[in-house]
Amino acid sequence: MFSKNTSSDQAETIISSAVKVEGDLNSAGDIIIDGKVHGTIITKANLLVGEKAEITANVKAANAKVAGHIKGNLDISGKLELNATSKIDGDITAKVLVVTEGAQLNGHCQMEMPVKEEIATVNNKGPKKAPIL
Amino acid sequence: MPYFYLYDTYTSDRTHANTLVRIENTLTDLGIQGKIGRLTILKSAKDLIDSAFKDGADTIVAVGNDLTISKVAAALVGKKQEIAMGIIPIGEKDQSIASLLGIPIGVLACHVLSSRIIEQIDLGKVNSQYFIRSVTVSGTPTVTCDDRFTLVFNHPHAIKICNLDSWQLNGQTKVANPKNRMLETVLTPLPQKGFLGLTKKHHANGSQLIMESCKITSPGNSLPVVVDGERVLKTPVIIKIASQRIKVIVGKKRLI
Repeated sequence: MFSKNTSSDQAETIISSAVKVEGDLNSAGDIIIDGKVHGTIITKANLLVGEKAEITANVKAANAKVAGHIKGNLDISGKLELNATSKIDGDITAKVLVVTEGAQLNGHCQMEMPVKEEIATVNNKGPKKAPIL
Repeated sequence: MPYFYLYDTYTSDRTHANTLVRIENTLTDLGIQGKIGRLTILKSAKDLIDSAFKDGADTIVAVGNDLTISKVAAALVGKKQEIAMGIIPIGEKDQSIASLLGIPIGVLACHVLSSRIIEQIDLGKVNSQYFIRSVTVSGTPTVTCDDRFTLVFNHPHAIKICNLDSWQLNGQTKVANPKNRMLETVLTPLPQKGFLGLTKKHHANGSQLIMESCKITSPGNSLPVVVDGERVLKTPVIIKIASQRIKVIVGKKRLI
């Protein structure tokens, strides 16, 4: 996911460890954060949180890879990867979750469930009854 | 299609005389010769361009470098939409805009001018002044972006807000997009003086952001804000994209 798509070459927003952002950070492109953010983070693309990053914010992104510390809730519509150095103090919503040994998660975790209609469709396609002779 | 050629002051230097003769001959061969105006202490770009419009010029060609282009672009704001700006770069120094727009230096630029590929590009506005390239400020100011978030710096940074410029970030060369109605902001940590005046090396990388506007303030002291590498303003400044765009004649090898 990130090795190809979220290189610093393509990222729209890069926050280094020497910079602190206070407020609502919105972006249409990829975001890489190594510094501090206090507020909210919203992107329609990928989010990469570096090892030194300290984020106190609710986060919404398509995909995310976290190696730093996040205090806040994460709403990830795609894949969320938590590295060994990551620490999350908040609730997580994600479709796909990858947790590496050593990652700390203090909060609820909710995996996105299939839509009700899809479940109904699956049930209707259940095994056919054998004809009564 | 009347052309007006605006020569910068440094082009009168003897080292450029031969190049200018060859350029003028090539322009005549291509059928795009026109009136010539020379910048002097007494004649500003705005005066010369206003006079050219009265004579019916619809293409203003900046003959010089980045500073010449900046002066011409600023003077074209508020003029008719059909007016196009051409560029003939003279000399190797300060030719970053020509390079981004795919315009070769010297005589070859005449052929780009003749082929007349036109792109509409944005202009930036800092307070009441216009810029085409970038605005830079150094220190630890407070930068409020799009009225949504604020950047706070631990130590001094070089802050570059680009419309049509390139920059190095973490070992990579990047180019701003002057057609997206946005400003690219690059933040590079500056080396600090340590014990006995020795320069401390910084391990922090640079940052970059995209925004529509920003406000730079520095409570307690005024910081110099350099506009297009030439004009100097003082903080506080408000930087945004100007509502008007300009038409520029560009080369096929443009990077934008």
